[in-house]
Amino acid sequence: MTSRVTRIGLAIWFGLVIVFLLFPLLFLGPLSLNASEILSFPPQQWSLRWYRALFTDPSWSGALWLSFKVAILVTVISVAVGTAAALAIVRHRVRGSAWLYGLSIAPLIVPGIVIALGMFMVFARLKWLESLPALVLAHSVVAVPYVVVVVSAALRNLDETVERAARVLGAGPWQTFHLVTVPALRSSILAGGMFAFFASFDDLIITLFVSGALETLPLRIWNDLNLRLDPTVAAAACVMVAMSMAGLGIAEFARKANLRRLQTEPDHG
Amino acid sequence: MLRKQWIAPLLAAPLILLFAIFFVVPFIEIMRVSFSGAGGVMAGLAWLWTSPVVGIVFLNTLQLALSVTVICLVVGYPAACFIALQPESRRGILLALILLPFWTSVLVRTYTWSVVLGREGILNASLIWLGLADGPQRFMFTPLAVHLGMVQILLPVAILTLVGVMTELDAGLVRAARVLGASPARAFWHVFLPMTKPGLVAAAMLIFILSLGFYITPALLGGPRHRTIANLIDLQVHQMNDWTNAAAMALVLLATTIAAVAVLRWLVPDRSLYGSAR
Repeated sequence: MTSRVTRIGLAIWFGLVIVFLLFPLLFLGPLSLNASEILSFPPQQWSLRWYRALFTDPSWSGALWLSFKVAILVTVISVAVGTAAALAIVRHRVRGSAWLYGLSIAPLIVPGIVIALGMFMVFARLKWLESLPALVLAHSVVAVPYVVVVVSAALRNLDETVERAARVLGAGPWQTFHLVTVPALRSSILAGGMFAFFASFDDLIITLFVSGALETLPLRIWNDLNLRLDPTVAAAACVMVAMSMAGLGIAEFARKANLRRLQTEPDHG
Repeated sequence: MLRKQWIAPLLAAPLILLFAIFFVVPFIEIMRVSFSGAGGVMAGLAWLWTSPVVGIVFLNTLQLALSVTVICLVVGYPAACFIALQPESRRGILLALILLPFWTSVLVRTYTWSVVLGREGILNASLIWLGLADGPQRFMFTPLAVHLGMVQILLPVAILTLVGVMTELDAGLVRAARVLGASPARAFWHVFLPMTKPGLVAAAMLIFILSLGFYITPALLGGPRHRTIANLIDLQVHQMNDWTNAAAMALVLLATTIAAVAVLRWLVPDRSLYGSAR
């Protein structure tokens, strides 16, 4: 179907698209290493002072630490809640499991601002604004869908006869679960957990509405952007980019590898 | 496996509990607040009808979502074709190039645009250095800036969805059309393009739905003159302290989103729409 000219044209187009997608990010590194107060490009002098500020200035390092703490808690909760729900949906086919799946991915479709506004109004009445547990659970609502989607996809590919074999050979339900099901799903659970971590770590909108004075890293950046352009923002942005590329790279690799492994197991029936 | 009657509800219980308190109750609260303003049950709705700002912002949001969707499809389709035509072993790396920006936080990506497009930004510095402009041009707080930012954020969604469809379809049909004498252009228009239609529709609706709720990018790059519904909701809560209007606005945004989802489900009945995005 494709002539040489078409193929070259498509390759050039693809190259331009990649440049467009990546090019703004390429400036982050040099900007964060700029010694001067003013954002100038290219930098006249290089320095690590903004990274030092990020890790030593209490308002920045506190925000970074809070984001970490919240995201770790969100990951633990989302993995537990999401994996359990995926098991209920795929393995037990509870009545209304399609409905349950729909509910669990709804936060991906409903605009974040609507969820944030609703939570804000509820939290305000219950005096939950500025509460760390409430912030963690609020983030969990937008993080759980990733775990449910990734883990239930892997569960669908996992051959149920393997689990049944374990039961026939005398393993109890719990033994089967943690010796057969969990190891088979391990990398998908890891991937879902990574997605959940960054759903929380990168979140701005929900935090903006419900966190009160609790300042996460995205909120710290946001508050700074509306006042002045502090180059520490560039350093913080660089750290976020590096973290998400590494973390989600691992997650995507694990998810794909898991699905492939489950699919290549011999067919029964 | 655990096959007892009570185990499945028990497994689903934590999610249902979490979502009931932090997802369903907030919705009910939005409904309640939007119909219980100081000016009576209909105060929120009346405001929607009478305020000139709401109409402008609503249309602005729809128009923005629509144009971003069209741009993403037009730019993304050939790029997706390119990936789909590569041998499978090479696709992984090409997809990774699309996924890298996709994984980066929306706030960070929007921030980088403000650095590029600002008054003392990289673009202006380059234009002046090249002698193409005498002084700094205004790029920030223009529709151009908002479109650049949003397309950059949503383009990966278009490409990933389209590649998913293109790699699944039967390439033999295109070859058959060629063998039977169709020109490459004809084979593309009459065989390849129609086969990718479900992917196009799915990508279009996904991007449209996601664009409707955009908050960060229009706020940072569009400024006060190019607000979206999401920005107006934020303004009502944080500046005007008017929860009734904010809740009424949120209902409008929600209704528009649900309508778009309904159209999507009607046009593409049996596809796992989130299979390829993340």
